[in-house]
Amino acid sequence: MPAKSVLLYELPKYTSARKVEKDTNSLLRLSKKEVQAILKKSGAPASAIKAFTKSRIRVSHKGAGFGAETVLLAVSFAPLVKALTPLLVPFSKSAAKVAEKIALDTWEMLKEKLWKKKHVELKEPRKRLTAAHKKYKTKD
Amino acid sequence: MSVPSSLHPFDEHVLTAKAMAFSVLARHAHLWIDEDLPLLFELETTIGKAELVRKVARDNVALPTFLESYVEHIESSVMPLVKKGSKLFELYLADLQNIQSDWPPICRQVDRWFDNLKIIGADYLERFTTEKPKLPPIRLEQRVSAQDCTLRGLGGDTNKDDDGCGRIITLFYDREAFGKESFLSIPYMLSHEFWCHGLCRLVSQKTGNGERAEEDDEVESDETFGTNPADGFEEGWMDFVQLEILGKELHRFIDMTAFEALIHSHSAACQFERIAQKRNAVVRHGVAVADRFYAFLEQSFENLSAKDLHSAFLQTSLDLNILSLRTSGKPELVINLGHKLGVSAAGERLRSEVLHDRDLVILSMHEQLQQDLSALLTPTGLPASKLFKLLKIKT
Repeated sequence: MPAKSVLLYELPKYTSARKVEKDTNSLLRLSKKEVQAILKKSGAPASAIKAFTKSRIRVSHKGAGFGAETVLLAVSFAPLVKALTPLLVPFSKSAAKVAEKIALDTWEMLKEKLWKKKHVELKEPRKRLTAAHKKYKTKD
Repeated sequence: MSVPSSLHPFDEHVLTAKAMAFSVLARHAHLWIDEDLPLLFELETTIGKAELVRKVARDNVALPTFLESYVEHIESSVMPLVKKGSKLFELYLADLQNIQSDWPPICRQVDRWFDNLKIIGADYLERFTTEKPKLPPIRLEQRVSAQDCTLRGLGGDTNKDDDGCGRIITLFYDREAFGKESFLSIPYMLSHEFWCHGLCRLVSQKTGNGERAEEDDEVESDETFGTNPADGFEEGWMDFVQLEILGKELHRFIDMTAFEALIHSHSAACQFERIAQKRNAVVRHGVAVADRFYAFLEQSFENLSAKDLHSAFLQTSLDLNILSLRTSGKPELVINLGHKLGVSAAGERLRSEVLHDRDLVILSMHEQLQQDLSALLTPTGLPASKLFKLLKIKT
């Protein structure tokens, strides 16, 4: 699976992965117009929309932490890429790459909608480790 | 196997020094009476002061020298505040000076605890699970990261390793917030990560008629190993179980006779503090259901010895924990079982007629549950699959 098919985000407060997944996929089904525009921009056949909007974006928790702070949200659109790639083969030599680009663009559109319509804000994960320590060597 | 310490030497020195000074003080604190309390407060403040650490850290030194200097600075900072000779302070200092040369670096101590945990874990998987899976490769990392610490200057996190077959537990420290209770709370934090997440989902079970059949996709589940922080089973029920195990295996785990009682009481306090946090209502419910269920077994099966009951409860819990099934299966089990036991879930809305006759309803549910469990109980515990069936949960 291409590495970009899974993106990580901070876990939004008071929202579970299950809820984000449900909201995301319901928004995907309601965004046929936008998806059609994305497909057109990438040179994909318009007929791909059916298979594309039928597949699911999967959202799960990444990491098991003592507090919510250490748990991330993993958004995987591998099913979208999987559904789209065979449909693109006749039109593109690098079908998988194009499918991934389409999935990424779709996800960006959905992420914005998640914030505007469902008030779920997904933030890039903060740096997990502290900044490099100052040099400190032992003497004796 | 534990990896070499990933803490920066300066961080390790500071954390070790604070751990030593606070832990020794905790052993003495009960002797201090009312009139000594202002001095005790002063002492606690001095031990945790960043200024003190800066003074000691003037030169880059090895740990024994650092600790020696740290103790000297505690003495010189607090001594002017002691008007008359304080026997208690002198006793504390003497204890500190005695112990400092043998006090291990914090990473080494925590690694030792973790190695003990793995021995106990392998033993429990063999003795108290039906499937008897092998202990997966689990390693420990230690990091300073204030933003990941949520309790007493500590934090914990479990993930799958790069190969996808082992687990990595990370213990986080907040160097500044590392205070008088932090060191004594590390065993609880380690034990939670190890039992609740390190040993979860070891045995795969193909999804039957669950809602998310695609969760069986191995590649996907490898990439997204994780737990909802509001998972009533892993974060709640299993937290109760790990505290029970910690209590039973205290000496084998800690191996520091002088501090075992303190660590035990701090571990119980940690659980209480954690579940008292507002955002942890579901975790609190999970702990309450496990606690109530254990008591219910005790009340319902008087013919079983305490040892057999303990084994049955442990086996049921560990069997459930090692089972890999759809995400919401185990949290649902906690809610359904809690309902039968009369432990309401957070935000649960009960029908008014149920509320009205709640006592009677619960009483009859208890009787029914007792009969059902009697039918399920085997010499080794309650089989997970039958428990799911009884509670009408799809697996």
